[in-house]
Amino acid sequence: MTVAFYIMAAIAVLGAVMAIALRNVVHAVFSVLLFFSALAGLFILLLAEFIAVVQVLVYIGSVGILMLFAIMLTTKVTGDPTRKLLSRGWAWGGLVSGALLLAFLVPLITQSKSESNSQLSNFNPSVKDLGLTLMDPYFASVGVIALLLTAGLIAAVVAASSASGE
Amino acid sequence: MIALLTVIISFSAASIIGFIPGKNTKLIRSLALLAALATFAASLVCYFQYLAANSQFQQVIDLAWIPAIGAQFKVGVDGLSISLLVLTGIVAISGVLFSWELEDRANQFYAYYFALIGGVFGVFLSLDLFLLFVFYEIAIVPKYFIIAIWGSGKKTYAAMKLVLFSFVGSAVALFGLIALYYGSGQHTFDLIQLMQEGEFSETFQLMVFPILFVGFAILAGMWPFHTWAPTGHVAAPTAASMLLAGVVMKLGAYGCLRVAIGLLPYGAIYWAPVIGWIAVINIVYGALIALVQKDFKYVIGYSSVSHMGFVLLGLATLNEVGLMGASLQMFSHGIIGALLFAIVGTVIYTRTHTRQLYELHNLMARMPGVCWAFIIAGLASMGLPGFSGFVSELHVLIGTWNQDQFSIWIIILAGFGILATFTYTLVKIHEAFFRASQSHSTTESYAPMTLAEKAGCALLILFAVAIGLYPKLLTSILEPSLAPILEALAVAAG
Amino acid sequence: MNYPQLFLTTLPELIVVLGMFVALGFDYTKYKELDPQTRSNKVAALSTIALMLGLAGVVWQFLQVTDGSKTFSNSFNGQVVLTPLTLWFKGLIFVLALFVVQFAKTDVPNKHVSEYFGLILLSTLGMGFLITAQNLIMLFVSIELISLSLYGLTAFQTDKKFSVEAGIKYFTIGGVSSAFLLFGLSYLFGATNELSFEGITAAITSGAAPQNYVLIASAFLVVGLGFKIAAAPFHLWAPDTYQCGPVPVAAWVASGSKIASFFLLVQLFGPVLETSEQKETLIAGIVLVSVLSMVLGNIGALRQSCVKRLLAYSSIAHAGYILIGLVAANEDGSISVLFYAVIYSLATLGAFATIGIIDSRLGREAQIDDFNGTWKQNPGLSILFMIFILSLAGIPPLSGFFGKFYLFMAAIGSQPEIASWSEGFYWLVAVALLMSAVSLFYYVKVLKAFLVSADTPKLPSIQITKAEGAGLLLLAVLVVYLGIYPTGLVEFIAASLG
Repeated sequence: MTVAFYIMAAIAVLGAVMAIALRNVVHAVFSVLLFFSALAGLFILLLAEFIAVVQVLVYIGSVGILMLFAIMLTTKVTGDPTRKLLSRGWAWGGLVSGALLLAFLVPLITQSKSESNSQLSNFNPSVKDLGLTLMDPYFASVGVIALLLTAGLIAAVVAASSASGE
Repeated sequence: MIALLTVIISFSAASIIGFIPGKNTKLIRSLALLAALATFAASLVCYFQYLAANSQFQQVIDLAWIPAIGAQFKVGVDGLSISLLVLTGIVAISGVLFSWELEDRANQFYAYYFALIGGVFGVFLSLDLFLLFVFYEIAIVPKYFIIAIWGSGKKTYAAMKLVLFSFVGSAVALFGLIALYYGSGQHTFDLIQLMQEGEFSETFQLMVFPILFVGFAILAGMWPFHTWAPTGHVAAPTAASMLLAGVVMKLGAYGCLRVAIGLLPYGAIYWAPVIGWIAVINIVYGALIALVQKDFKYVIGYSSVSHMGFVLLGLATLNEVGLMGASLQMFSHGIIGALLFAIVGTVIYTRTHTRQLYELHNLMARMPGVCWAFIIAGLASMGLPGFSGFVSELHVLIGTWNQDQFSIWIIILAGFGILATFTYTLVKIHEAFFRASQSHSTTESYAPMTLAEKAGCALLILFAVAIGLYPKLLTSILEPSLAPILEALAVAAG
Repeated sequence: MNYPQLFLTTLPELIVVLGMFVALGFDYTKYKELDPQTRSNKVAALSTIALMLGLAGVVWQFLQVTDGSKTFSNSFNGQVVLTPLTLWFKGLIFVLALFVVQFAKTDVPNKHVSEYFGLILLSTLGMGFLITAQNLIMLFVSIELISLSLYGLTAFQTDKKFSVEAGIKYFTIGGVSSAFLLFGLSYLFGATNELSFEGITAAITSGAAPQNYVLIASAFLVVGLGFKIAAAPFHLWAPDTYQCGPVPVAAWVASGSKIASFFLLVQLFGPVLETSEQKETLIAGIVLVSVLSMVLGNIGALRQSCVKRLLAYSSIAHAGYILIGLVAANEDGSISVLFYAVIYSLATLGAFATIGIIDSRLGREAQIDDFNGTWKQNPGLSILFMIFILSLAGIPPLSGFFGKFYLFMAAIGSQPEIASWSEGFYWLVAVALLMSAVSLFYYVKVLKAFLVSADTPKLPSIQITKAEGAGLLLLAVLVVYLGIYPTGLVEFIAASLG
């Protein structure tokens, strides 16, 4: 279990870093997909099979494809190879965040008693429960998510129709 | 209620005049004069009422305001505040008289002018520290606009400097006020309650007293934070210089006396020698710098710093005579400083169009009336017997002599300061009025003083002489007001 | 789930959503052929009506709740909690949105009129939901609703390079901050196994939650919310967003979203800061953020010549001041934070609206010099602007003064007796006072251009619409009134917090 977790986590981090660092946009998208699949693996480890499937279907399936299409349809496919994507300060940034991680997060997490959560053991992430949770106690939040999507849609309409000109 | 009228009239005048179109200068200045007269009348009524019934605080109005921070709307007057109310009224009237010819944006000028005056009145009336602070800060912003719009020379620089100094001073004082609120254990800003029931520990007093004192004293022109005063006074238009020197600097001194010394007597006793030293530095330094100035207005500006030194010295004596001297000096310098600024800034300047002493020639022959007015003012400022300055400075010196904590050098330096004052006043009177020039032999007369100018000079000289000849006019109301402060000091001295 | 109850609870929001769709529908069909300005007026009128009806709904709910009748007993596990306090703030958000709509309608950036107002309405709803949310899921979802709408609004001028750039900057940094926030929320959930604030508070207070996890969660929440309130060092998006987005949007980012975020901060951190074992560490962190914000904000504002950018830096500084009330970690602190958030929003909305009006008439971005001599042609506008700016500077009798004073009182009151200077918050208040003096310099600099300069004004006499004039006047009156008599609001907040 633990070994699998670390492998998955390593792949996820690798994918994320590559997505930022790679110069070629298509390659970047593929590393994002790599990240998504590692995430799906992590969900399986957490016994959340449904979410894992959703992750594969929605993110790897549609979102990834969408991104690839978007890149194909725009003119500049590869980006400017002469420009370095990593700015000069990346080493400092990495150093600082690494230091923070080591000095702050790791000690805190390792120090605290990590007894397993008793309530989580009877947690059953089945599709039915998920649906019931969403539609019953969290209906209000789902409603707000609907508004969120509306906002996204409107913003996208503005961006897209203006970009295509009058 | 009558005392509160001064504030109400001022702020109403500010808002009404502000909305009159700027072209109606006649209407505007008549209204302004009327409002100033009204505030003066109200303060006089307070004065006579106080004479009739000499109690501690009169006309106290106490309304609930912001209970969350223990602040209430509490105003009232005692002798000390009444003397300053009267002073503010006088200076306000003469300020309007000496700005009689002002036409540029007159409505805005008087709006700011009365907002400033209203803030000043409010400070003198407040019996609640939060309210006092609110008025103290209200008085800051109008000063900026008055100087920056109607001033001369490096006016925006001077205005900004003045505002920042005032603001920093008030911020320091604010710090002290919050400390008082918590230190008293009373959780109130009520000045009377704090005076009577506030139990400030000795260490607290030692720590907070300098904060409060310095915070207020910045506005009183205390060395080394005095630098705003000369530049501000010089750049300001006449009416504003008169207000600044005459009244605004007294705000700081009033805060020092009423809040810092009145509430923290133990701290005052501890720090008195230090303040004494700073005060004589003020006196001597101001006088010496005044001696070498070439710009007439700078001379007066530094003389203000020097005279405020006497106020601070009087405060530092912490004895009856000295505090009386400080209070008298506040009034006296308010009148005389205003008069000096009025004559230099308006009467002489509008005729000669210069303030540089070396450009003034044969003035005695060319404007004798003005010269005599200035000479009288100068003599008063020197502290010649018969003028208010004599009474107040004498009190301060006797108080200093009686103060055991002071080193002998403080007294010697104070005496030297008086000599220096004599010197620069006489030297500058000579340079300005009696110096004949070879190249400029013209003796053509300047226009005589206008009615408004004459009235303003007469009003100010009248009060300077009245207090000089019969100081009891003020001492009789000041004595009962200083008594509780002296009592607290006596208790603290153990 | 009690659906009728949910319907009544979210009635104001439903009304506004309905209004938004009506506006969108009319704009796409009936108004299609009209010129943009007419369309803008019509859509703005529809949005105004929707907001007013929504506001009426909020007022109705408020009356019901203060009445004591049990109409809204169900809070849906903390997702929509209607108390007098939350409803009052939600009402305030709606009122501010009404102002923003009035200011926005004269200068719609492009032909997408109804989308513009639609996004404003959606962000309003997000802010309202955030205020009533006491549940982590609702919290995150409503923050995202606010953010997404505001990203869209910031980048609305798609033909202008800088607007898009500002939008992208805001979007990227905002996205990162959301990630921080989500991470913090997940840890909070992990530590307490609760989603509702009530449960979380109980778990933290009782000591059931592992303190280390709570600390990590809080640290990440500080970072995430620090972005939202534009506190340094998470402020880098603010200057560009304020300067390059449409001005009413900048006003909205600076006012409405600030109120909602600070409300959340108080709700979320109030209990943690008062009871948590790790509160020392956490307070130290927030103090650091506060000092950095005050210093960087005020120093940054000193050298700005663009007024909007100056206001952006000043808003960073104000976030620093407000955090002083939060670290006080007492009841006065919470009250003062909420009070200051309210009055700051009123003043900053007024200031931005004035700048927006001037910008739109000038046809370009106004620099400080452009205001020289404004008092000659536009005395009324100058006076109103002076009121807003002086309130921001904290000059009495305007409300900014009392707000700041109260924050300082609260901070010092948390530990009034100290043995050395580093104890208590005397030193923090001293820093804040010093920085206020610095801020006075640049505020006065702006006012100098407006009111002092005798130059011939570059601005023509500005005709402001009735709605704009009424809005500005009302804001100014509120700013003055809350300064002279803050007791009403303070006591209301105090009573409803306790």
